[in-house]
Amino acid sequence: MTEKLLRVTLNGKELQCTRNEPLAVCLYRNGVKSFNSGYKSQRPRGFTNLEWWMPERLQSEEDAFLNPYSRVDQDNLTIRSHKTSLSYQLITRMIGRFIDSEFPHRPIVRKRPFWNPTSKYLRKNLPNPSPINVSGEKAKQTVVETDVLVVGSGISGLSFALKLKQLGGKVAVVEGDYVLGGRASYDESIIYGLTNSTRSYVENLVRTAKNESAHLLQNVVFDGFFDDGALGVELGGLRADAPILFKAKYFVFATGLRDQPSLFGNNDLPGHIVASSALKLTNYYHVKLGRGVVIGNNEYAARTAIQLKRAGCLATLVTGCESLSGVREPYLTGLQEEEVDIITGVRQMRAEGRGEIRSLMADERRLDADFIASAESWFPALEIFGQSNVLVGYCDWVGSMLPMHGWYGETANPSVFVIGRSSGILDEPACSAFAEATAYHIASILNLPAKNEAEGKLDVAKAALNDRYPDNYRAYSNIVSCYERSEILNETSRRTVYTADPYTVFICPCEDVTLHDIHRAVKEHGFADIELVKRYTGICTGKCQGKRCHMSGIYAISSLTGKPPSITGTYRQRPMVITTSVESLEAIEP
Amino acid sequence: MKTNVLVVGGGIIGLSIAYNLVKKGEKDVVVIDRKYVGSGSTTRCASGFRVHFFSDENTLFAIESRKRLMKAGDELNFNPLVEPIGYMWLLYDDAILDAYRKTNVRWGQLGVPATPMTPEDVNETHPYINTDGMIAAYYGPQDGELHHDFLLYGYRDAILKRGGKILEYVDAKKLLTNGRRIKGVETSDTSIEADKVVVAGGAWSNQILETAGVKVPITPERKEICVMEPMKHFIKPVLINTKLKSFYIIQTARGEAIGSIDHPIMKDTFEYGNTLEFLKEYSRAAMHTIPALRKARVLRVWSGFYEVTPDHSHILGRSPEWPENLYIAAGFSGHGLLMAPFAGEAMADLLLENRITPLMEPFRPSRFEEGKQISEKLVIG
Repeated sequence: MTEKLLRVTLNGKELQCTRNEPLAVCLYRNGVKSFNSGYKSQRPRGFTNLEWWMPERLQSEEDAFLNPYSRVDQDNLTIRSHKTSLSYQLITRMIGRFIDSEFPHRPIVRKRPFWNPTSKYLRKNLPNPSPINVSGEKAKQTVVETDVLVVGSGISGLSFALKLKQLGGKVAVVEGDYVLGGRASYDESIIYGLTNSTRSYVENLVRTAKNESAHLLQNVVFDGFFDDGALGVELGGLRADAPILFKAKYFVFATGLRDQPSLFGNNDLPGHIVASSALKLTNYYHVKLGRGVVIGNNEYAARTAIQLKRAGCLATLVTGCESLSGVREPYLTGLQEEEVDIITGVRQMRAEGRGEIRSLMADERRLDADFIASAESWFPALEIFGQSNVLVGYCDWVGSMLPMHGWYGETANPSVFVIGRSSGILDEPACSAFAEATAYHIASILNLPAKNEAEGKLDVAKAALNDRYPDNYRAYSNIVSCYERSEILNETSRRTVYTADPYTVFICPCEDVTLHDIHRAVKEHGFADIELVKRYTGICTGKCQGKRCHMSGIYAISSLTGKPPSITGTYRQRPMVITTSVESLEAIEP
Repeated sequence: MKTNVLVVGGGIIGLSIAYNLVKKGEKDVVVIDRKYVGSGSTTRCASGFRVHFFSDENTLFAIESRKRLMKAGDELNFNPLVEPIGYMWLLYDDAILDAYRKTNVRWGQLGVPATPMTPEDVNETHPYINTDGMIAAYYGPQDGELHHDFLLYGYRDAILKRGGKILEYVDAKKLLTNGRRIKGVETSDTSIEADKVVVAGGAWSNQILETAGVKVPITPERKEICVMEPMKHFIKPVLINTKLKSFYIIQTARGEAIGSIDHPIMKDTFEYGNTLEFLKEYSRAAMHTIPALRKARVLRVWSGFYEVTPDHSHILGRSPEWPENLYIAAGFSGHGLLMAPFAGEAMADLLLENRITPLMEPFRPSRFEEGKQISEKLVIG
């Protein structure tokens, strides 16, 4: 890492940052955990997901809507978080509980003599960025023309791309992050079937891909399917994002599963981050996180806890389940070897602290914590699958909505394939094996030489998955057959909501939607349809477009209506994948 | 299943009719929708309301509707967030200015005068608007925006509380006739017998009407729409740029800027979808009209259908040539939300008392055969 310094001034406070890291990392390193405040409640807000699609906004002189994941290449940067008037902050904090989704509809409030001044006041004080009139270089569109476009450069994406390239196919890989390798690029656990850590495995793949001069595009986001083309965007930081037109015969999505924030009391406090982001901060950016708690009962939670302990961030593993039933060897041994504290059977969980997390109350026990890492549930890039007419169903083993697909990852849309974790495989070696099988399959569709080996590869992949994870294999074969039969799986598992106070469990941090809001929508207004709940509460309509609240929302609704998530279903997804600036869209040449 | 009045279509029109029926004491009302309430066009709309139309008929109808809209928050259990923030038409063409000038005289007579503005006035009061090439603007202070979903939910709530029924995910397949009488509707679930059937199916109305041999001149027209990330309130009125393919933009209560442009024009299709062409043209118009939107970020785009009639005005009531007991309330040509409160009331009068309000009379289905179309050119927003 080159240690060139960048001077960042946040709200008048000077901070020292290195240039090659995202602003958010720099702020976190400097102890700044809170960026803004909640829209209705005025509670402090930090980030939960450290990803290229971060919905938080910072305001600089050049861009009122600066993505905190941007890297900046100028010497000085003055940014501020959006401020609201003091009176607004005081009022909303005082009556914060009442400013919920129901607030404008309360009997006194909705009468015109009261509502008119209230609405004026609320409008005037919205804690939103104010747009600024700036000039600057215009963005320019580029075109990427290829046979197959792979979205995601994790183990599956790269394995697929390398194999297809070796078979003679023309392939391009896009990755939204600055770093290739996806989740594996900061995961140092040694997993079954691989001799090295996943990190060195994927670094090896990246090296090979670069040696073979594969077409790798970093910092490029797949932004959506449209009637007249597929759109991508190259993230520009302070410069305009440049639109990209993807011209490809086939799209292969290796977008993985996204970690979701857990549901416990005060889960909106800065310091609550998802496990993958915690690992990214410690393992990749070497940020000292302090003491932490990991929530979850699965192998990713165990892997996170082990690695955090090794990195010196004292980790406690907490779960609502009675035992660590979701964790198997070698991670159980790993947890023992690293002497990770494990607390099971927690009923009530609540974070405490003013402005940021200081501790976690697990039932009667107080666990000191500077951060809480959620590793309870995931879901794939549903926004892409919804747009591309891929059918989506619920899989209880993975605990997520998943795109339905065939053994080669083929979906209801003939030009779209899904591979890797986003297809429902939780095991890296199996991901890699299935990705290669898909490569052989697409090679045969493209009429490339060596096209007849696909079936053999598929058998290897099936065996690898069945051998290591028979449960995942069964679930996976169900997703496969459910695509064929258009039926939906039965499910038994539910995600736990750990608190007695639904006012402080935030499901959607963008729109400040709490569990109480969902409860009100379902129980008092009788909205059973996710589309109606979404429109009443505003869940999934905020800046992250449901990337943090989609599955939590489905779980919350299904637990309140008593219908399984497969019946609750999901809502209609629309482009774009990330919010894109007007000037970039203006540069499109369809 | 048997009912007095069956409303086919659970959008804002269907629910407004049902709401007015239950309000007038007719509790035996059933509304059916093929998906959830509002799933057709209501939840997809940009949610502006205005009283300014080029024709007297529409202007008078909209004035009545506005009165009811302003009271909706007091009457319903939901607050439709009605905000009379005004409409502002930006004019670039002498001929168009002339038309506005003439119509404004009429608007004054009808009690809803708009305010003419010079580009200098606009610069002073709305400095964020680019006035290059603009020759004048008209500002309608009576107009504004509301939250379409909350008005819809208010109706839904009131209907359910007063004993009406709303059946979701029930698709009307066929009108059942008994000679020259309509006796009910066959649905995807079961048959529903009804004394009176009202088709409020929006752009899809013809699909059900055709099963009884009736056809109305309604064409679906796909419109794309786009919403930007929340920002501080700075776009005060609803802005309409009459030059740039009728670009319009509204900033909602939450600070999101929602708007559209008449491009590309797609008719006679029921396929939802979005185009890059729209995004490009819309962004160009947005940046040109309001330069500060340059760095604003687009959250999402979607599409929906205008139910367009040859004279861009709705069709209410029934034609004497139709089978008995069949009524229609559709063809609102993009103005369904703002016309709904009064359209529902007028239809309820017709259904219960067989009374045709004079304001509703010009919108009769037979006007197209009679050659008595309404001359309406102000169709955007």
